[in-house]
Formats: sequence, structure tokens, C-alpha cells
Amino acid sequence: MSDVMKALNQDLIRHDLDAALPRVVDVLAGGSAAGLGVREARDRFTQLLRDARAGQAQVVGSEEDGQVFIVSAREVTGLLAEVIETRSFVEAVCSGPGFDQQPDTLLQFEERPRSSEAFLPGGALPAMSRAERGTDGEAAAPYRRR
Amino acid sequence: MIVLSARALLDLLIQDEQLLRMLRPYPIQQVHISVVSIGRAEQHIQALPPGDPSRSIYDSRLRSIVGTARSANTLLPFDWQTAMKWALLLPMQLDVLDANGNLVPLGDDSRQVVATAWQRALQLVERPQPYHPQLAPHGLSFLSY
Repeated sequence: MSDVMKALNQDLIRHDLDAALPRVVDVLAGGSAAGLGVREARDRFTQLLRDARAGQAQVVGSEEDGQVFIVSAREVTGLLAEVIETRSFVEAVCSGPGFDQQPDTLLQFEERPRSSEAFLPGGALPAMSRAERGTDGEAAAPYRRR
Repeated sequence: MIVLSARALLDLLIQDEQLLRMLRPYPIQQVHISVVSIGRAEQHIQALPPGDPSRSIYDSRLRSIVGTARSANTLLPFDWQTAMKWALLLPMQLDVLDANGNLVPLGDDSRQVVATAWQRALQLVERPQPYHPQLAPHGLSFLSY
């Protein structure tokens, strides 16, 4: 393996695309004089694309001039995790939809009345009338809330 | 680690400056929200007139908050352990100040959020309230703004 190929391999292993891409461009422009033939460079790219399809690296975009950016999916995940960990809650929330507009009406919190008071035995329930209780000796009528 | 009270969530929706200033240093993973508070906020938004343009703004904001909490896994359910704590809070005389400064009983659903903070040993973010000193001896801590 040529020195250029070894260096390119190291760049790609380290995901150092800043170093790898100019090296490849240089090789393609210089041809065999740089020690790496077009065919070898093409094979190397084929391998990289194969890795991308296997999920080990990912093509994330290209520009109009034909440059393709390939990054490691693992690195992207790591970067995102790092960003999420360091991002403040307020920053994350307030950058979301709705926070760029100002509402005219202000919401105002109100405590809901305690529901349990309506079911406390001995006092909270409304007193039943004699008709609802039923007369002596008869079964009590079902309780109906008034 | 902190959890927003139902009232604090509403203050977040209206971008209360004092609350934002207090929350600013906290990373996403440290700010929790109870599903009960989400329900209360939704109820307040639904109570706005259907034609009010503020309604859709608050709706978007609430979805943004819920989305953030879900992505950080900080949305807290009301589970049975929390219900056991809630049961202890239900018979207590706990008072809060309403918008007019009058003492009113802490609502049952607000107690669910307090129980969530208690069960998970989280600081409850809330404006200063008369009931706070009552629960401090039980191990609850509050972060006021």
C-alpha cells in the first residue's frame, strides 16, 4: 500500500474528513504521480459508500459543485447527545414553535375547587329529603344529586 | 433536579420573566414536568374562546414543551407510588394564594404534582406559597421564583 493510501486510510479511520478530502482531490488531480491510481481511489470510495450503506458511515449531503459529505453516524449521534446534554431547558423550549409570537391573552392559573369535599362523609353531602330517604319500613330511594 | 408545578408550567407558557431567569441555568435533563400539569395547562388553553388567536400560540408552545420533555425523557407519569404520597397529602390543610391574594385550598390535582415531586425527591418549582413550610419537614423542598 502506498504512503498516500496509508495516510488516507488513517484519515478515514479518524473520520478526519478535512484532511482526507483534499488528499483524495490531490490524488485524483495528480494521478499516479502521487502514488495512488484513480482505480484505487475509486475502490476506496466504493468501500466508504459500502460502509455508509451498512450504517457505519452516513452521507449527509452534497453541494452543487459535486462535493459529497460523508460522516460517521456514530459521531453524529455523539455530537447530538453532547448538544442535548449541554443545551439549557429554557433555550430548547423557547426556540420551539409558538414562542416567536406574542399572545394577546394572558393565561392565569386558578386552583380547582377540591373535589373531595363533595364526598366527605357527614356534612359535605346535601341532606336528603324524607321522600328521598323513603318512609319507615320501606327501602330507601336511590340517592339523586340535586 | 426540579419539577415544574402546574402553576409554573402556565408561567412558562406566558414566558414569565422571573421564572425564565430562574430556569435558565438548568440543562434539559434536569427539568421535569408532570403529566398532570400538562393536563391542567391544556384545560386552561381549551378554556380560551375558539376564535382567540392566542389559543393556537399557547397550543404550539405547550406542544413544544411536551416535545422537549419527551425527547429528554423528563415527562413524569402519575404512578401508584406517587398515588400513595398523594393519599397522604389529600387530608392535609394546605393553602395557596390565588390571583387576588386570597387563601384557597391547594387543589387535588396540584397535590398530585406535589406528590410527584415528593415521591421522586425533586425540588418543586413554584411561587412562594403558605403551605411550603408545612411540607418542608416531610422532606419536600421548593424552588421559588
